[in-house]
Amino acid sequence: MKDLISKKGIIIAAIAIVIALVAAVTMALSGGNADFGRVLSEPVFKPLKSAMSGLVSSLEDIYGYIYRYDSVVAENAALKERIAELEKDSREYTEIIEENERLRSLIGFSRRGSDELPYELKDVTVISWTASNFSSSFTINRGETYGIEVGDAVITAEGYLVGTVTEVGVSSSTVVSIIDTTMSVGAILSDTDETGIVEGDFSLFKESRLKLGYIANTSNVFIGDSVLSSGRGGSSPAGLIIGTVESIKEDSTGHGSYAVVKPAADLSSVSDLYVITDVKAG
Amino acid sequence: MSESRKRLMARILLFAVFLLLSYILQGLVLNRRSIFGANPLILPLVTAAAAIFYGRVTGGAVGIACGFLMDLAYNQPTIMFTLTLTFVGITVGYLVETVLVKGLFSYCVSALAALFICFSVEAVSYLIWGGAPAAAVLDVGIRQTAASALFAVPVYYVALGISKLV
Repeated sequence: MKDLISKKGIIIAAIAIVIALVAAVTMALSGGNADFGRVLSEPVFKPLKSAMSGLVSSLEDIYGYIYRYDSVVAENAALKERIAELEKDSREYTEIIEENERLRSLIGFSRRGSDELPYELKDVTVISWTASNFSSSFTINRGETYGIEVGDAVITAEGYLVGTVTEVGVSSSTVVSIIDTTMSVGAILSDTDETGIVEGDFSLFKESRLKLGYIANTSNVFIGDSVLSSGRGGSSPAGLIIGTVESIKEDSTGHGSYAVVKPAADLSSVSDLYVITDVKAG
Repeated sequence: MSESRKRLMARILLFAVFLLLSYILQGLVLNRRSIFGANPLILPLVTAAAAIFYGRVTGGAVGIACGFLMDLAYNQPTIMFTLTLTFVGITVGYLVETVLVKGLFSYCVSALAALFICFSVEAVSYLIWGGAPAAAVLDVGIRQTAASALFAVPVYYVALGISKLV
């Protein structure tokens, strides 16, 4: 025992304890900003993460091209057909829009432009995902110098909720994804206005699914219903698309049911995202 | 510069490269392509290997570095694995200096213990405070350990190569 706690052993253990204590103190005092270890390592590891992310994405593309060539050719043909259909629809919509404009101008309505989105958005890119098998989070390439704050919601270009910023560094931030077991978001079903809470659940984690619980009346929940954020609880702005109801299950306690929700965002392929830094009034 | 100091510097440099490559593999590459449905842990294996070949001081020092990198890879404050892998490195190093025989078998046992300790440290918070079902947590632990075990022997032989060089 005396041999174990030799001088050098004490020094090594003390160094580790000091690192951990300083990290804990800075974490507790910083109110969501990254601890000192993460701040110190950010200038070195952020470029490394960005470089590796780009390299791995390229390798995955090459792998996909080589091993999925036949399906890629078939998909290409199907997509060309779909493009032709969409171009035809686009021409019809253009005619409808022009007629709409003409009618609006006749009755004096002003047009709502695309810059009247209800949010302030900042574009970000995912540079690395957590290596943990118990949680789901990723690092984005923007931090407090870009106006990112703890609690900001992160969405895809289509408006699908991906996660929430939980830690902010100088030039990078950590986002916990919606399937993480620490996440919970106030939710509302678009068709029936039934409310509940969408949260990550460990038993659904492996399948990348969410649990919609605390529903007042489960008979108002149907497979295929769209689930949106309700804005209640302040975790996310209202109206963000969370996913769709995939199944209804009985709670293991036997009291009530819950819905299994498939996230709208494909978390395995998210890359270019947007952070909602401000919600406009009105 | 004395011969022993040169060897120490060379050992530090080689382990630094080894650690960086292990971090890249665990934290930036394999986290996108799971094995057996889980991301493997390589840094605890490196800690066990360093402790097996060089004893408690190097094991503890490598444990600090591996734990720090693992906390970074997990997007969490540099606390949990920094402490855990330091403890693993010092303990395995002490056992090698006293009771264990240096070799592949001792390493495999130590590596398995390191993986189990890392799984326990992470799982306990989910079981106690997160209300996660034990079966689901155990399932993740088994798959994680199985995926990590694939890298145990290669890590051992890389560490063996470094020990023969310096």
